[in-house]
Amino acid sequence: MENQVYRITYEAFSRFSNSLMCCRTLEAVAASFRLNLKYLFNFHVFRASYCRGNTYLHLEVTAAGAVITKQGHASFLSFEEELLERRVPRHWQNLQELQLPQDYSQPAEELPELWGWVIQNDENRHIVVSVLAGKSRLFTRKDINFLKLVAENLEAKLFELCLLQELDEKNKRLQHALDTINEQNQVISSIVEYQQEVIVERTKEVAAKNAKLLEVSVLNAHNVREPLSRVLGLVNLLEMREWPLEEVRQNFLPRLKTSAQDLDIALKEVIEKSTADLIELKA
Amino acid sequence: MKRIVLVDDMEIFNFIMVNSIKSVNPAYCVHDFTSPVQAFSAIEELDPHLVFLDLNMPEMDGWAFLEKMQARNMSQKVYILTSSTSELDIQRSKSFTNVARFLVKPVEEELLEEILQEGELV
Repeated sequence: MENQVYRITYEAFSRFSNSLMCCRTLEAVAASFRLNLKYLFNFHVFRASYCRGNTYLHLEVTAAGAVITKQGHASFLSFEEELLERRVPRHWQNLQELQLPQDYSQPAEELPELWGWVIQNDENRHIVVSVLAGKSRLFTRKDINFLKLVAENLEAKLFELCLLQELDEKNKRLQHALDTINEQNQVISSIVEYQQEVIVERTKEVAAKNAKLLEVSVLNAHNVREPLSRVLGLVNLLEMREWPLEEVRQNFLPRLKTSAQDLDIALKEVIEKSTADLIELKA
Repeated sequence: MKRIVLVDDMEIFNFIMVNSIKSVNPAYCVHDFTSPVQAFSAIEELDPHLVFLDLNMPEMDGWAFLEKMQARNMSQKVYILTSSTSELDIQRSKSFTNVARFLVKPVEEELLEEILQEGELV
């Protein structure tokens, strides 16, 4: 008879285990518990609390249904904290001092009992499970084996879901970082492009300025050289032979004077133009 | 005797050249023009042995003068006489077969003597 019961329970456990294995979300885990847990053992309230990093998960299964809550801060019930502290299984028959939530309340004639365990899956991974049972929903020591299997399976699944979520978040962060890098790259390349444009533009400007200055200087040199070559030519001519004073006075001096004056004008123009060009080019 | 034509819009240069040439040899026959247009029409009549030609002139510059000579197959020997020292001008002058030399003002006496004696023996 007992073997028969065990066999049926194992079949139920197998269905539960398969169903849990397929769960991809916390909601699916809750749904699987709502469907399957009642075939494994009796309870008023089944509660499991799991923590990884800053994520606190609490699964509560009652006759009314199954709810899983996720919180970002420690949210254990006081008896769960006691279990975590001592790490030994507990069996409470006096529930008055435990400050249990509303949905744990049972009529006195039900003789409610609370069972609690910290199930250790490995050194760093554990889960707090508890069962509220009573006269009409009897939980016995024989049920503990299945409860432990359920707890181990649940811990493994919650661990997996947490890892998936962390992976997802990391991927999102990576993607975000990648997006930021791409954006920055675009900004940088547009800056570089702009700089290159500026450099090309400035180089053109400088080349144009240089060409202009060169042109001006060549033009100036020619304008200055013309009257200067007249002065030099007249002086050369004077040196060629003796000239009568009257001829020098009449023919040479006025021409020398005109040429010297033209040279003066040309130089003044050069200075004026160069100054104007410099001012214009600097602007 | 050698016939020489001077073309320069600046009278002072013509004054210098006429007197310089006369200093070298007073027997030379020198015709000077400040108008290149008048000078050009005179050349056909005078058929000078050599022409001293300025480049930078209003009305008709030295290049236009040379091109016009080229167009009419006039082969009188031309000495360019300019205050420009531009390498571009020197290069351009080489494209005219009748240009004998490119001279920069002022021309020293020795160089002028040499030029005037060039071809004297021919």
